[in-house]
Amino acid sequence: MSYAICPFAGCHQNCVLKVSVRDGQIYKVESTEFPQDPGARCICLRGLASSRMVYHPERLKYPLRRAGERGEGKWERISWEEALDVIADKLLAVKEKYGAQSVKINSYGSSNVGLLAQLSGERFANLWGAGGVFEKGWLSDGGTPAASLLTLGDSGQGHDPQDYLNSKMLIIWGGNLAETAFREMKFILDARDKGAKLVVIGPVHDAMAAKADLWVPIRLGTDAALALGMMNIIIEKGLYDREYIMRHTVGPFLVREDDRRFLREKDIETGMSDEYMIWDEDASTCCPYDYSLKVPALLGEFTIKGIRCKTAFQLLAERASQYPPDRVAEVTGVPEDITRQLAEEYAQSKPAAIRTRFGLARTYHGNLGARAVITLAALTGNIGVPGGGASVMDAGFPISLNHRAVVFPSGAPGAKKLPGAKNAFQGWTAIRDGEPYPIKALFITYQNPLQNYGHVRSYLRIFSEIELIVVSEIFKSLTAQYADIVLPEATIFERSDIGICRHHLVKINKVIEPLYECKSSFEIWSELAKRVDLGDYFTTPEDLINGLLESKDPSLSGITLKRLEKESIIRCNVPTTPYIPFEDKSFPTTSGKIEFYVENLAGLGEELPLHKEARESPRESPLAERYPLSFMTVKRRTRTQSICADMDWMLEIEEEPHLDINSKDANYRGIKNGDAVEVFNDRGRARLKARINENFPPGTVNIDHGWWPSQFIKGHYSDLLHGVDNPDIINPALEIDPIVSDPRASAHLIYYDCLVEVKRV
Amino acid sequence: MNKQYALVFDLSRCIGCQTCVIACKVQNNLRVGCQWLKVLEIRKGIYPQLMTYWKPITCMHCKEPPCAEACPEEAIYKDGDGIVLIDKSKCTGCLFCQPACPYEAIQYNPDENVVEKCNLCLDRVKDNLPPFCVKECIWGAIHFGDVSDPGSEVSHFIAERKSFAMTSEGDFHPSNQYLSPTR
Repeated sequence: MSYAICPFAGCHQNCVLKVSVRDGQIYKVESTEFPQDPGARCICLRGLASSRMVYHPERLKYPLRRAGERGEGKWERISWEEALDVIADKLLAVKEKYGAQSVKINSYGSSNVGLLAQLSGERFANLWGAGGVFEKGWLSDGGTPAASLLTLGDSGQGHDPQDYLNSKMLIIWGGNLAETAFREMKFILDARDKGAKLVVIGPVHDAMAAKADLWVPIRLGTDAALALGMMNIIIEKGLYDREYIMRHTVGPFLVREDDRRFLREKDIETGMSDEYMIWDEDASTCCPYDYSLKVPALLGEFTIKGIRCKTAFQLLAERASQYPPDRVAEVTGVPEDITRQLAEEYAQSKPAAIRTRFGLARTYHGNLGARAVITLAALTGNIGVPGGGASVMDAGFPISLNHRAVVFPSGAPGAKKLPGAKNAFQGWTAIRDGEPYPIKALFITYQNPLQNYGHVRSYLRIFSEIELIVVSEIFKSLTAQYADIVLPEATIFERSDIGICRHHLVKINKVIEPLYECKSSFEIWSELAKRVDLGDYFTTPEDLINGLLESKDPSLSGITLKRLEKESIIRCNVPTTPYIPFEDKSFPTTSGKIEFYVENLAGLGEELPLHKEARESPRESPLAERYPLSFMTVKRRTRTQSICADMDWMLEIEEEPHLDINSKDANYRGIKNGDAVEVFNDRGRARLKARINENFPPGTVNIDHGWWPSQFIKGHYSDLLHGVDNPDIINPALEIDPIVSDPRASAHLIYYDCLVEVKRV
Repeated sequence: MNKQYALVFDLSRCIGCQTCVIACKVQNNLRVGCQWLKVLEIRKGIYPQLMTYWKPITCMHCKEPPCAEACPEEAIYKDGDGIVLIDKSKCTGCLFCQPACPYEAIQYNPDENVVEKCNLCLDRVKDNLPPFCVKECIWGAIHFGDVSDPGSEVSHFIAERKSFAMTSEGDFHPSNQYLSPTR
């Protein structure tokens, strides 16, 4: 018996599995008890079925080399010796001809479980001096992290879901946690049963909506309008938290009317400081911001030394007033009385929590919706308080393992970030164009970008100049099919590692020998390192794990590998009360305050949130004439990204992909349940069976995310999406500092910003 | 005093995830395509006036099990805890029991030519552990206990909430209970 972290951890619940073995075979997987923290126990249908992946007949077994053209499907089995020799030779040849930076390493995906597995590739990349935009994990849902980064200063902040038990109201905005975040869902149900009003806002009547006290159906991509409409009511009725806005937001700061930037002290008197300015109501004068001594005006228009100014809050109030309930209804479909009622109830439920999910921002302007939602929470004084928040992640007490020691050995040249590439998408374009330097060798570990992130043809364009593509993973995914060499990885059950689950460190012990010729990430990178004169840096897994644990973080004090080997699961030294961010109200923004007003976006007219239609808006896009339906690819319980799509126990529950379509749209097109249909636009087409589904609004169709191309009659949903090297999908509002240097926020794939048509075939 | 062990499903907490379905497969080493516990999805309405809830369904461990009545080999019986059990050694795979069950709880096992179904994980129960589906329902939607004991925790839930059993045309008195989806 041993513990493992679920190999489908791309859902980020990091459940700890208890694994029992009999006669060298896994015979039972179950949830693990955490006596000190009952809330940590979790498992789901996928985790329970995880052994079905280990013994899957079509799992990658041996190293393979392409025997025909890329994507042709012809492979020859080679030995590890040969595979690694070929790769090493190529790396050295590339280094000699182009430089070390012409090797790009994408070192792990979200389901690559275990810290050693996750960090081995990065260690190699830093030692080698690899090039390219160095993204480490999933990189597509940048909209809400970007909004959180701009407004609050942190792209990954969130409350520990246990804190929901302190909320009087819990709003789930833009996500289906009932299928995608099982651990968190337990806390949501507990909070609801304790008395919190559970409100779910989203276009689909999914499992999350089904459990709500109030579901607010909203038109896709119009969340900014609803949030602003709620702010309008709250401001009109004086339900905002005046004190909070004054102390903790840029609300009282004066903004110049001419350039729409904050007024600085030096603007009105040369040689003075950069200080933000307020209007002191008592003294009737303008002065630098100092809440402790002054009472700043929150509203008003002032002229200082000939410069016309308004407070940021005045500007927000004016913006909100552009969203009266009737306009909100017209834009979003939310009835006027619901907007009013929800606004008042939210403002008066103290405290109230908002949990945003990535669905909120999967359209081109989705980050504006997220900014508006976070601003709503700030207005009501709900940020940094127990039971409150505008969480964008399920977070916990920060535990700082010594990552640096593992990924950046002393003396290593370090991997480069592609100069000039502001975000991950520009990185792909730079690689396609070979600018400023070519990428000639590419490693992709445990990621399936060709299926999950944008149009496959865009990747093929990017791949055309790359001489060696190595894909390392468990299945022959769509990405693996276009590789030159495919390496079979060991699952978490076949290797030893350590992991983190909800502020617990877990010792993961190998329970079975690796099947076939599978190897762990650590082994693969070690073997490769030996061949390129870096072998000294990959001694033993224990050395690296010890390095990780050598941390000054008091939450890790006293935790050693020896102790982990003895106790298996150790709770870090963190408080027992649930973690909440910003409790000290210190925000890592430029001003140190909540920046609902972003002066650096004034040039784009986005200094404040506002509603903008999606790029492929069914109302405004010229494409809508031919392609009137909005297309979604929602995440479902039977798959984590694409990794369990072919597992027999999951296929038992759902056999094949379907095109979800409302009966109104189906009847208009003569489509009946089960009919084969084609869904198409200018970018591509997919053929599959239709499923009449009233949970989706008329005008919106869906194919559940994660199914493999082989499971469709023809084509795939990714054929309908945008290419990653298409500059049109890059939102310039997301190309400013600090977004561009933030790995979580710097790539925003607009999955739901897509128009299609559907016809019977 | 005879017990009547049963499952009590809290439909207000069931999120239709089917973790219980897979848990049962793990515990009983069920082959691909075989489920002893299923989850029904009930939907009503048209957009946006919609309602969805889920109902796990398995052997009801009826007081008067029709499957036992139908079996010509007397292979099906109720034990002292009220659990309806199949004695595989007596089963000839005739399948007379299958259509007798209004809940489609009986599954045919072609490898052994016998029938099988939920047995409330009686090996676990004998060790004072709850059935595996109960353990792995993290969301607290399945309870286990003695519904004939008015002092038990499950009887408490049944009394406090609007609850119902899935009655059928026959008078079989299913023991499993459902707590209403709306609190």
